[in-house]
Amino acid sequence: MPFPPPQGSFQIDFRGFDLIRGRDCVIFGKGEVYAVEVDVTMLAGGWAGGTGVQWVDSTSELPVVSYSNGLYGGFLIFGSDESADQYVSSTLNQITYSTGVFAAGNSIISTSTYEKYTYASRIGGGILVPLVYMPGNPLYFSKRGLWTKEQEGTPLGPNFFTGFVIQIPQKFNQYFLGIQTSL
Amino acid sequence: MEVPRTRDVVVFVSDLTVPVMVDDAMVQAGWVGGTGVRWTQSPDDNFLATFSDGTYGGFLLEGSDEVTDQYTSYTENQRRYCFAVACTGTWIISTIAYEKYTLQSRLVPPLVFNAYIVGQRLRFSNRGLFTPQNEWHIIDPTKSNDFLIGSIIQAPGPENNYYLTVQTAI
Repeated sequence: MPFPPPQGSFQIDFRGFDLIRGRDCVIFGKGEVYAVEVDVTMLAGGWAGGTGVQWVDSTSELPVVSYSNGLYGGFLIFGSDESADQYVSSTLNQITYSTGVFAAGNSIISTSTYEKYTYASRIGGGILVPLVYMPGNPLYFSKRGLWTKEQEGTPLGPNFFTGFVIQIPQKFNQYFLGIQTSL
Repeated sequence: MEVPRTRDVVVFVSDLTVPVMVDDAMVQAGWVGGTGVRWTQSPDDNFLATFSDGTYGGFLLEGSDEVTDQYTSYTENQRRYCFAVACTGTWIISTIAYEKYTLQSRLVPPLVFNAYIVGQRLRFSNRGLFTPQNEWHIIDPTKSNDFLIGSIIQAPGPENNYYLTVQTAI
């Protein structure tokens, strides 16, 4: 189909739409969501929207999560201090009340929370080597809870599969990674 | 109770749906409802799907030119606008989008029916239809398609218009 459609045509070309990415994690299809408590490590460090989390044992009445170390539970939809939340009533709300909005199941998302560089180059201290993502690549959580195509390992053995790449980071999508989650 | 099966995919339990663009190969060839698709790279800011080659993304809810859509405003709508509705997650569906014959017999006739048994795990075939066969392994014994996308809950038969009923896990 030609773009733009010929003059006088009533055709609509959906391929030209601009998808607004005003948050760390943009949701196109939503799986299960649940309010959880975040642990002191996350409260101290903060987190970006889309960060992978795992369950941790606690004495709290609520289920508690912390940064994923490769294991999974789900991901947090909203970051703790996103620019989109500034000067509104939700500014730092999650940090203040120790909560996060946890997502599991099957979602279609676009997020800036993924590993940009290989694990080896991040810990090696040398030149950073970009990770090249392709549609269909299986994804895992990295040792610090970001989406990555590398299996960095977990304290309990191999990584858990968490989803697939559906759109690679490029200029037109503000370098967000498109993901079909499977959590 | 009779279950009317007037579309390529009849939905008993639904899960996540997402609109996607389909690539030129799909627009040219058309597709039946229930066809398996995989993600492919788009030159634009959208989610682009093409026929599955055994890997998965989901399945398409509606065919590109179903009998039910004839003489309505929806006729050929998806191909015209290069879009479709992709389904992921856990669904219970009844569909015609499955391999009726074994891969071996499709390559070298005569055609031999695929055996569908309740509880069997399913994959997408190399052309994006539900199948119980591991087609990658049949073609190349060093490979195995481990993308299991569901299981059979009712085999095709005269009582269900020869539709395959599937519980997906995509």
